[in-house]
Amino acid sequence: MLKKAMKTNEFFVLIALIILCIIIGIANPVFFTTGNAVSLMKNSIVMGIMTFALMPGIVAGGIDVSFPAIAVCGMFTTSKIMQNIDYSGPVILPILMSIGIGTVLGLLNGLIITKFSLPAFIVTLGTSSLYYGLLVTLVGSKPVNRLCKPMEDFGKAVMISGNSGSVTTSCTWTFLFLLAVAIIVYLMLKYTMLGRGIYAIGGNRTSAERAGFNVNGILIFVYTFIGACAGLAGICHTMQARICMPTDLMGSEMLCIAAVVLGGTNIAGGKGTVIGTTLGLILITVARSSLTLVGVDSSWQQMIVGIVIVGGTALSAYKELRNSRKIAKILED
Amino acid sequence: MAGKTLIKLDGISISFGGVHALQNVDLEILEGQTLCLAGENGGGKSTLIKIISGFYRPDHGTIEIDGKQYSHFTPKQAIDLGIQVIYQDFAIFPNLTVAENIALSAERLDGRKLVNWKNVKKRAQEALDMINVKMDLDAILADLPVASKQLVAICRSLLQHARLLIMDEPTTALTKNEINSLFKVVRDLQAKGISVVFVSHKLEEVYEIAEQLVILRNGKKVIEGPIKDFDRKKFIYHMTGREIESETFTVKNIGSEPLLEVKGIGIKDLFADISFKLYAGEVLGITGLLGSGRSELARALFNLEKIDTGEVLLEGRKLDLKNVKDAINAGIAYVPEDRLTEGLFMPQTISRNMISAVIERNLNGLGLIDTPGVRARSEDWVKELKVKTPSTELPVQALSGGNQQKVVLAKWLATKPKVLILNSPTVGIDVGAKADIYAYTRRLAEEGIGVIIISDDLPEILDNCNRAIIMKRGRLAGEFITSEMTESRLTDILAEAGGEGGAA
Repeated sequence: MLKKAMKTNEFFVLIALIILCIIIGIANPVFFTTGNAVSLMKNSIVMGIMTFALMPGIVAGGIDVSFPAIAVCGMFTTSKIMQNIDYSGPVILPILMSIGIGTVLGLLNGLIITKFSLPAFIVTLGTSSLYYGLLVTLVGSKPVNRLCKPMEDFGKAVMISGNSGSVTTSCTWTFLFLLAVAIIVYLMLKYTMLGRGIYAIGGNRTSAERAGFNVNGILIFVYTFIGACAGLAGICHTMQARICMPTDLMGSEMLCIAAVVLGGTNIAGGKGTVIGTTLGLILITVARSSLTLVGVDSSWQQMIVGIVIVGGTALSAYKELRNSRKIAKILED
Repeated sequence: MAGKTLIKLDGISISFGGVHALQNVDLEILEGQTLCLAGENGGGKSTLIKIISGFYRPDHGTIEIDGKQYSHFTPKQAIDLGIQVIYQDFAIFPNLTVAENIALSAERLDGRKLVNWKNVKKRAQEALDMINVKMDLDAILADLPVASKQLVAICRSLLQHARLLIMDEPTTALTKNEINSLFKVVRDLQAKGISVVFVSHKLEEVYEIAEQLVILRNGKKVIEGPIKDFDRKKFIYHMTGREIESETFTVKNIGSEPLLEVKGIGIKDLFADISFKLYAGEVLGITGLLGSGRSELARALFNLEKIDTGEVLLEGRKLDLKNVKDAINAGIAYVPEDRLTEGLFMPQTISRNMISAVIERNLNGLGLIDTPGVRARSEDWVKELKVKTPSTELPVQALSGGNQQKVVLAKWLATKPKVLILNSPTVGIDVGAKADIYAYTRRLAEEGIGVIIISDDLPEILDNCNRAIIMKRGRLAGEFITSEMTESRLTDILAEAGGEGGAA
C-alpha cells in the first residue's frame, strides 16, 4: 500500500511541500504559528475555489483561462449594483447573484466550445478578453470603495483566528465555500456518472461518445461549473478585501492551472484527484505567501514561484515520460 | 447452430457527397451465427457497421429486428436492441481500471446517476467469468497488453446484453496465441446464442471462425454463402475483383559478396549474438513472436536503437552510424511497423510525405523545396506503386491503409536504398494492396536491392522471402530456406519456446 502510494504524484508533491515548510520554518519559526496557518487558510480561499473548479475541466481534456475575468465580472457587477441600491437584505443574495453571472458566462464558454468544436484554450482566451472588455465598457472600471453593508459585515465576520507573536490573524467564513467546493468536486468525480464521464472524456473522447456518454453535455456542464465557481470566488475575494477593484484577480489563471498540474493532474486530461489538487494548492499558497517570512525580497517572489511551478510540472512530466518509455525486457540472462 | 433471423437489412443504400458508399445491400444475420464480413478498404464494411450500430442513417432501405421495421436506429436504440460494436481501437478508456471499463457503460445504461463501486466490481467480475477470463479488476487499462484490452471491450458489450457483437478486424494487433483464445471466446458466445459479425480480410481466420461469408466491394454485396463454398482463389477474386496469383518468391540473381553482414550484435536486455548475412537480390525474412526481439533488431539495423556489442558491415565496410541520417546516407531504409505514428505526417500531402526522408535532395537553387520537381517525381511513384488517389496533393490521411503504406514505401525508396527493411509491411492492409506491395518488393530484389521483411504473418514470410531467420526471446533460433519449410512446421517451431516472449 505504502509502496503504491510512493509511486503517485501526490506523494512527490507532499514531500516537496514538507521540505518547503521545514526550510521556511527553520528560517523563520513564525511559520509554525497558528497565526500563519490561519493566514494561509485565508490566502488559499479565492484561488482554491477556482482551482478546484478548474481541475475537472482539465481532467476532461479541456482548459479554461477565462475564469479570472468571469470572477471579476461577477464580483464587480454585483458589488456595483448592490452599492447603488444600498442593499441591506441577507448576504446570500449578492453571493448568488455573482454565482449566477459566472454561471451564464461559463455556460456561454461551454456552448461556444462544444457547438463549434473549437479548442477550449482559444475560446476562453478570447472570451476572457471579451468578458472583461464588456465589463469595463458597460459597467465601468472605477473601484467600488464601499461595499453594501451585508457584504461588508460578512467580510468582517471572523470564523477562526490565530496569533503569531502579538499579531492576530483571522480567517472569514468564506473558507467554508472553499471546503464546500472541494467536497462537491470530490464527490462528483468519484461517485457520480457525470464525474466518471469527465474522466472517460479525458481518457478517450471518441470512446466516451461511443459508450453513449453525452460528451457535449458533460463539457458544457464542466465549463458552466467553472464559471459558477469563478463567480463565487470573485465575490469571496471582494468581501474579504472589502473593496472591489476590477483589476484584481486578473492574471491569476496561471497560478490555478499550475496548482492543478502540480497536484498530479495530467494537463492532457484523464487523470487528477482532489487530494492532489489540494496539495498543489497548498504548495503554491505556501510558496507565495511565506516567502516574505524568510526575508525573500518581494521582487524575487515571482521568480521563485515560477521555479516551483516549472520544476514541479517538469518533474511530473518527466515521470510520465519515463513510465511510457519503460522497455520490456526480452532477453533472458 | 443457426436459428431464427436476428436482424435483416433490406435494400440499404447510402451516399456521401454523391459517392455511393453502399448500394442496395441486403444482409440477414441469424441468431447464434458467426458471419464474416469481408472486403477491401473502402468497400463499405465500416459504413455498413455504422448503419447497423445507428451512427449513420441510410438513404434507402429498412432494418428489421424482432419483427419490427426501422428506417434507421439511433446509437442508443441500437445498444438497447443488443447491438454492440467492438472497434479496432476497442473504444476503451486507458486511464480507468478494468472494472470501470467493463461495467461503467452498463451501469450508466441502467440509468444510474451515482456510481456504486462495489456493484461495478461485481458486475465486471461476472462479465469476466462469462468468458472464463481472469484479470486484475484494479489494473489501469493503459498498462495492459492489447489482447486484454480487447477482452475488456468484449466483456463490456456482454454486460450490455449484446445479442449481436460486431468485431471490426479484431485480430490485427494480436499474436497467434491471443487469436486462438479470442476464437475460443467467440465460440463460447456463439454457444450462448449471441451472433457475431467478424470483419476481417485474413482468409485463414475467416475459415477458422465463420460460418457465413459476405463480401462487399465498391459498396455492393458481390457474393454471399457458406464459408465452405469458398476457396482462397474465389475469396480473393471476389474481394479484389481481379485474379491475384500468389507464387513463391525465388531468387533470380544473387550477389556473390554479402551486401549486409551482421556480426554478433546485441543490445542489453533486448537481444544478443545476432549474426546473419544478406546478399543483394535476396529477400530475407525475420520472424518470431511478438516480444521475440524481431522489431528491436530491425530498429537497431536502422540505428533507431544503439547496439552495445557486435558490428554491422555494409558492402564489406564497417558501419559507424551516429544517427538515422547516417543510416539513410549509408543506404539503409526502414519502413516502420506503425505507419501512423512513425511513418507518415498525416495532415501533409502525399508528395511531401514521399520526399520527407530526402528533403535536401529536393531543393531548388534558392534552397527551397523544388515543388514542380517533387510533384512530378511523386506522380511517378503514385503510378509505379499503384497508389489510388486523384492527386498527389491530397493529405495522406485521406488515403486507405494500403495506400498509406505505399506512400511510406515510396518515401523510403526515394532515398535510393541498398538495403530495405520492412517491418510488418502489410498489417491492416487489404489483399489488393498487399499484392501490389509484394510484387514491388520482388522487383526491387530483382533490381539488386537487399530486402529484409520482418513479420509474424507466416504466409507472408514463406511466400515472399527466399530465406528466413527465426528469433526467440532475443536470440537467433534458426535459419531456413523458405521453399523447404511449411507453415505448420514453422508454427510449431515458433510455439516451442513456450508461448510468448518476455515482453508484454
